[in-house]
Amino acid sequence: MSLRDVAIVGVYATKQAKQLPDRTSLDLALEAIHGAVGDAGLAIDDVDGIAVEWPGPGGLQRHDGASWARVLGHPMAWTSDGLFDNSGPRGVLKAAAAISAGLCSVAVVGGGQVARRVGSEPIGSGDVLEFTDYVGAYVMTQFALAAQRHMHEFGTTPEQLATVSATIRNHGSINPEAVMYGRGPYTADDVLASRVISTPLHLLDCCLVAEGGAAIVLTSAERATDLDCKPVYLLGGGMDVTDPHYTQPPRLDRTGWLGQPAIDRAFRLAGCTAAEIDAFMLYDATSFEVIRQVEMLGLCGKGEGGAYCTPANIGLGGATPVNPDGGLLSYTWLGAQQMTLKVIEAVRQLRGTAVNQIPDVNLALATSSASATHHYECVVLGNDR
Amino acid sequence: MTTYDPAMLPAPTELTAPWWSACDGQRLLVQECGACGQRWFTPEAICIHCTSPVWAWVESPGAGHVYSLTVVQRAPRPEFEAPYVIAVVELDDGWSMLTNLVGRDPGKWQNGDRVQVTFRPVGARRVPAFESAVAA
Ligand SMILES: [Zn+2]
Repeated sequence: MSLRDVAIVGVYATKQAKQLPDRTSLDLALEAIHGAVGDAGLAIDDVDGIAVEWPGPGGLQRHDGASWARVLGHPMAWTSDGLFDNSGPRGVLKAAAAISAGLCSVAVVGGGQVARRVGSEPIGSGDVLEFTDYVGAYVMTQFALAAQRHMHEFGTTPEQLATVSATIRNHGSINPEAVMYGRGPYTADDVLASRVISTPLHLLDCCLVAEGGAAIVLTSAERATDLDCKPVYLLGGGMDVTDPHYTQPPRLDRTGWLGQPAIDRAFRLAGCTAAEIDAFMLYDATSFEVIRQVEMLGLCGKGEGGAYCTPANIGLGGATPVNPDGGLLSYTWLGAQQMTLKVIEAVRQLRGTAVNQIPDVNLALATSSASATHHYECVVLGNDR
Repeated sequence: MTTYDPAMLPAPTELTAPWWSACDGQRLLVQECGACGQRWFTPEAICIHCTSPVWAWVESPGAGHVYSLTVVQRAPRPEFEAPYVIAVVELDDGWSMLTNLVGRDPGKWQNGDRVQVTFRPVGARRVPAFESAVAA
């Protein structure tokens, strides 16, 4: 058995918005589950594996697996608990492993989230961290430390960071599903003119904070052939975990290439190279994350990511288009399920149904990370097994 | 960054209490392995280099240099007064930590700057920060 014996047969994203005041995390998760199961041509009763989270309010964060059996009205053969474990490439790989091992037949990965924010304060780690919080550090400051060292070592410039932001935000400007639809177009100068959050990151170098839900349905490739849908196959994937959540200094020499083993494993399993990928859904919590990843993918040399990330390369009509949906910078960021949305956009690109469709996509990459600090996951998806 | 709510500092654990107590006395401790001799931070119950459970707290000279830094313009909570500087400091005795740089205009700091540990009050406790090791 291998990943190739597993197919993604259903995807669904709810409306994404800065605030969804009339929604709860639970009903967003439920809408996503029903939507993805329906997209696959399956029924809720077919679902026997579940990795879906609904962080508060009204959720059972980190203990959600068993709850879903009751909520969906029948027992589950396989469940997974925990924030991030149930989302994006990581959730997909774990569910695929369960299916290929025969532990369940139809698995749903995803979740929904509202009201994670407290006022308008920056997003912290989500935990109380004994050696991080007193410093006044939060997630964006950790990304900033990795970016600053990259600039110091390689001469990466603020203009290069801003070019990444402007390019991806311009994809979101023309995606009606994006939270920032209609905002823009942006130039690198616009990004540099936005206020500084934590040097070198400006406001427009940092991802959104929004609300919404997302889900993916997986089953065996064999069963997928009986369904009224266009299956997308899992060809490769990998994970790389180095540290507990935001506890360690994001040293570029230790975690700057965090994810390289995951990328190498994914392409080894898939039997292809990054050069063969038609569309890249890269985790863009900040502009710097894209620069870091194009280097790890080997699209350019180490330290050359800033120069590589021009619209001619990462733009919609570019050689290696990145985040056609607008990414975390412009489409949405919703806690953990933005990782799931990376996979969903990859599936839509492969199906030929994406809003900003790249022509002739046959191989797509989706990644997730807590950038240059502690974890990274990726999947290679394709139209053919 | 003049005031800070001490309630935001979590209670020390059995493992970390000696480190915090030393800070109160303006001493910077670090764990050192009895088997391989290496040092590490943040605190763990075993050596992160060789998994030996035999280790001891030792006093670090607290001298090092700036590995990376960011000037924070948007504070996470009102207790922090922006702008302030967060840095990764690499200690000469073989470990590194996330910390603040203090005592100088935030915009003046550069990678490689020599720094020395100092301790700033947070409520009734003290936490390490680093200041320029070059006499002003
Ligand atoms: Zn050791």
